[in-house]
Amino acid sequence: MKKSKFFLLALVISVVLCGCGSRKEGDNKTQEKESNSQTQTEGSGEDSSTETKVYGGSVIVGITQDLDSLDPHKAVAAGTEEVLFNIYEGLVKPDRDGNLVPAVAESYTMSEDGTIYTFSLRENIKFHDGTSVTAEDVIYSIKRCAGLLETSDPEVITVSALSCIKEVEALKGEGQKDQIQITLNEPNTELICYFTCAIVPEHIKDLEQNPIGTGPFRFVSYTPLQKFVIEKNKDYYLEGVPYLDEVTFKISANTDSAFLELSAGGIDIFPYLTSEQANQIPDTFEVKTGTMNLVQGLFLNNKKAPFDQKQVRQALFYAIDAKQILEMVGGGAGNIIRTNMFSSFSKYYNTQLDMTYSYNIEKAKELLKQAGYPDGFSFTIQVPSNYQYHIDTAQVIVEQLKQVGITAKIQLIEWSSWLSDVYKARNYEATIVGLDANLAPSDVLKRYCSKASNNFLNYENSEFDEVFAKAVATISDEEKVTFYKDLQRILNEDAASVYLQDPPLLVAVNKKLSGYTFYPVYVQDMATVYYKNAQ
Amino acid sequence: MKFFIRRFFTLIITLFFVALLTFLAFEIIPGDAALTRLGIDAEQADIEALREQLGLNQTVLYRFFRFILGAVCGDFGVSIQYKVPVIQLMSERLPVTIWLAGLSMLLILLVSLPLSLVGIESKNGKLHRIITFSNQIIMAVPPFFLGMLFSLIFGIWMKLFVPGSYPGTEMFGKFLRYMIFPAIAVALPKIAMTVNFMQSSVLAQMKQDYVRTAKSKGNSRKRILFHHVLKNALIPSVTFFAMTAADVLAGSIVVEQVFNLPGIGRMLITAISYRDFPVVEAAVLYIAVVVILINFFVDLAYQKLDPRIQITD
Repeated sequence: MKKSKFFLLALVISVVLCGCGSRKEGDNKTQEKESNSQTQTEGSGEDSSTETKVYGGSVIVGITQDLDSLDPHKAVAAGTEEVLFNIYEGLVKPDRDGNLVPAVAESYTMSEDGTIYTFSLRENIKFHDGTSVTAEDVIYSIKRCAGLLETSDPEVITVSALSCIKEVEALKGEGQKDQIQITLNEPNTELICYFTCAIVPEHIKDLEQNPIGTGPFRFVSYTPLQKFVIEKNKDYYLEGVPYLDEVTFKISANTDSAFLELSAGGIDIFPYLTSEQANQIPDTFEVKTGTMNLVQGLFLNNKKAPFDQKQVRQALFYAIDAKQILEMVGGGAGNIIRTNMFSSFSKYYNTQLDMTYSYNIEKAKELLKQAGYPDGFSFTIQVPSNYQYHIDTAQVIVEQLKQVGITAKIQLIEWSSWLSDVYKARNYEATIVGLDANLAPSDVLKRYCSKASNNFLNYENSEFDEVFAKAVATISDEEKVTFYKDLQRILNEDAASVYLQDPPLLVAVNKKLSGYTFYPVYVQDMATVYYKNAQ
Repeated sequence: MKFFIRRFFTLIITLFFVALLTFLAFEIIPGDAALTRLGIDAEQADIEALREQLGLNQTVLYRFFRFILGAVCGDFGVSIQYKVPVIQLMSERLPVTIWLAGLSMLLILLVSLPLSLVGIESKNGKLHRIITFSNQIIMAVPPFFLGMLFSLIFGIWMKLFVPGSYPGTEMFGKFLRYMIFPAIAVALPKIAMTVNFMQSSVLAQMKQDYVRTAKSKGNSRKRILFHHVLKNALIPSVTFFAMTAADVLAGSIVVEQVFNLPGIGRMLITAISYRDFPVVEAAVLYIAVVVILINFFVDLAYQKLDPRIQITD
């Protein structure tokens, strides 16, 4: 029963996701050809056959976090990256299915042994200030991300995965397009995911005041704590997008005030609805459901007693009813996961684990007895105070754990403190957060290696380390998938932490708008959004 | 003159201690500006480099006195998050907070004075009871809740303004129209308190001997009230008013969140979570200066109201 219900849920979600995604892409292409008139009728599509796309118009998107930097290589917060996605592009960028499609590059090839990547630059691609994108700009941008520039700015976030780059050079043949060749020190067939790093013009030294990229929208203005405005890039290399003339990202103090503004008609798209808000949404809005692409879990410090015992960790897994959490906190949407991988990452996701650790109090008690805690124990869960979703989850967990005699206490902790105390100093027992990662599977799983600097769980398993090394080293795609699935199994069996769910992302979209697209990464792509004809 | 000099020194010393406390608080709370800035995937080497650049590796004493020296010269440094001078950041946010606090104070003055007199005039009457009763309720409602209530009633139902859509100071009419709602939200509980306080203060004076004397001389009740009692009743009220002013400032900080106002309060809260020390220190000092100045003016007002209070030395 449980199985079928969950399956149904996953099915519904995937249908919704595909429904608002792929169909429109197909339509796009059919209508791009004759895109001279102001509006077009879509040729195909069942429910959207009467829908017409209007070019122009402006949209206000509500966000709840101020931007931490307009320089794409300095931005850290997910809330900033999702906005800057509209301005900057990398050599490649993710599409809605998680594939990497050419952006600044027109095409790319990887040598068979995975040590040389060659990108052909798109012809006539321009930055927003009108200058052409040159091979030098690309080299500069990649070196900047990889920390290979001679004078480095400490605020630029070095992408450690790119540190295996030996050389970035331009290949210039006569009559040929510009090509960039990147040589690596060691083979890495997953590195392509990191070439989503933004290509920026070398001649602009103050990107923070003057953000210039190649994306479908260009920067207009930014007022801290108020708004971030972008307008259509008329010279965008793809025909027919974007539709909108202007997009304003409005920075609200919190979701409550943003929701009030939405109710009053001041916001057209709001991506962070709580499930209660989704129920109270005004008639003029519809709620779209996706997933956040996070691994939410009760993460345990594997070095702190009693969590140094496998049985105890497994007992917690059995004692926590992830389905109930999903229903109480996420309003039933979202995907239950039992290992550290996103369910939307379907190529690598190990579906066999889905049915493990089904809610079982007796089993949990039994395991606790084996571990020497027949009467339970008590511990503290540290939860970052700025994430209501995790706080709510923690509250449900505390109640559930009472059933097996475990007393959990919630301690709210500021994000800065979480970073320094929990994440860096690893001074905690348990915490609830959502882990995100790049589109590379190695990036998702790397933190569980014994020596990884971001292994804040203090997880140690030599088998895991071995398989991980093999997974990264192999250049056979098939083997890679097998290894990565195996790694997920190890984490699941060890109960390295209690993995809960990929939380639902509830987005309010004004019914006048269409084309809002979910991605397997956390972005707000405004290029696909358009007004439907009012008629 | 001596009074002013002494007051000035008190101001400086108080500010010094406020700065010191804020600084120490920032030292004690966990979290680190460089780590917060670079986030979850930061490399240790980058964090070290940024700490060095921000000067976080210097000794506590050195950093504190460097900040104090800067502040004395009017230089509060550069915001870690926004990379602009703190002074510029403050000067953009200040008008919002000042307008909000100013409007609230004005409302408190304009409404509570007449209201308390009306209440006293109709003592034991219906009006008095209604005022006292509603005072009890309004006093208990925190400003942020009133703010949400107003957004719902005036914003969404009556459509008098669009919640959260702060229009900026360029169009003054629109600005004022938007600001009046947060101002009322801040002012309302304070009005209730002030009315209550004024009434009891006046009623206490009414029991004094000089009132009986005045009455026996044949003065009308109204004349006694306005010529004798009010002046005496005002002295404690002024103290209360000064305390209210400090409260209004604190209230504005919270209400700014509800109405999405880009004022000092929102800046302060964002800055604390980013460990943006220069901004926090400047904002706290600003608030301290305002509170101290208000107290100063209250002292002056005492003297005007009651010449017996001597400000000498």
